[in-house]
Amino acid sequence: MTLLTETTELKKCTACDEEISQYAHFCHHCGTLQSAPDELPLNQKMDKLWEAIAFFGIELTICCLFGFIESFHTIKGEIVTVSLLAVNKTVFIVRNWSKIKPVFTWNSWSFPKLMLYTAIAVLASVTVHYTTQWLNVSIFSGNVYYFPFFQKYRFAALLMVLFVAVLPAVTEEFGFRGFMLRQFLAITDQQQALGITSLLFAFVHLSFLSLFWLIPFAWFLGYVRIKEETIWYGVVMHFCFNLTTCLFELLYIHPYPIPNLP
Amino acid sequence: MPDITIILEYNLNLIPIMETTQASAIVNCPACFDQVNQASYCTSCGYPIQGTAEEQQNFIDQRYAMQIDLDEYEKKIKRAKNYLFFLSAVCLIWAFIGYHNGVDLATKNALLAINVILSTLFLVLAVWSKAKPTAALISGLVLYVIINVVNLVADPTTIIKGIIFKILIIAYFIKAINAAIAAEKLRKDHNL
Repeated sequence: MTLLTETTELKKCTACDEEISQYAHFCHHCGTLQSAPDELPLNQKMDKLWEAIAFFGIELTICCLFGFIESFHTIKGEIVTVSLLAVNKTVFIVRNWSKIKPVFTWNSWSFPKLMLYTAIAVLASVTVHYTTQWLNVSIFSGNVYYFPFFQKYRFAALLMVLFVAVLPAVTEEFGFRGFMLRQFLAITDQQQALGITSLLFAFVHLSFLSLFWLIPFAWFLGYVRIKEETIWYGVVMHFCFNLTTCLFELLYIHPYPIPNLP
Repeated sequence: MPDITIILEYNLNLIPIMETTQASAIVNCPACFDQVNQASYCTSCGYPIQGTAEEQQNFIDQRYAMQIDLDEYEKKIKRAKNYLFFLSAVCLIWAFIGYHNGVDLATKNALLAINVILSTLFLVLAVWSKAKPTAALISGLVLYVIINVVNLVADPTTIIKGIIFKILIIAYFIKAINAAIAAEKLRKDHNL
């Protein structure tokens, strides 16, 4: 309910400059609709939606190429995939650079906050590690590891950290929390934008069993990105989460060859 | 949200509804029923409180037309919501068929687990679509497309099976997503 008398904060009407309640949808004097400054017309919202879907469609196609085509399961295939994904993200970020530029800055840098988010990421990763191991063994009678893929190459551990922890943390945060979340925030409310981005981020990993942790993890990354108005805390969290997974493999599941669990 | 019939009812009797509630300073808006100061326009819906009878009539007509548009959007959203329930049921059926036809225990468990997860996801999206239709329908469409892509990779012949039905579902989802965004904007802009 909007009562002029109950509001102390005022704003000016966008059409007649009359002072009106900041909660008023319409000017009481001239009747003009007072849209939010960032509120887009319907056709522009649709354009943003289709742009986000185009981004996601390309992203999904590239992930499917790597996920399902055997000849891509080499380090060269990995490099091609990561490069294609990076190009896709760069194109869409550059196209919208003026709008999304603010979230790529890190003006209010805080060390305690960074430590807190890092601790949350590491704890979440440990929990997910044990839970997925248990689920994989219970359902699939085996486990999936990253290291065997890199094992045959020189600097295997470094390659693994680069391709599992560093590159996904940077590119996925740029693409999903940098570009895509911004698109959906322009289309719908914050809660729905967070929901869509989290679900699409989880789906693109093409692992239905991992949805149980991917969705809340992505939601939290999106929440941090909105709360802190920067993607960099998210990048660090994502990196720490993935690095913890790598370290589990390198420290505890070492020495290789890594067998399937009975 | 005011019902269309209520709007029409008040439309026939505009003046009496503007009853003052606080020493003739506050009035109930005949269009949105919000309490507003006796200003020129309602701050909630833009109703011309001190306008001419013709202006008030035009406003009510426009609002009535918007309400009809909104009802149309709601119908499309509801249909897509029913598809989400339907997809949830289909996945659940496939879970049991997969479990029954699986060659070994690992395959049986995997098919059961994946299909139960998908069924639950569609069910959650269907329920969520009542409160947050845009997010639920976009996610539902994407999930449906991904399942078909995965099936296509596993067995290319699956894409042909029920192709018309698949295209129709995708088309209805796209229509419903457009409707959900339009409805959200209409509600926000006009406080419907």
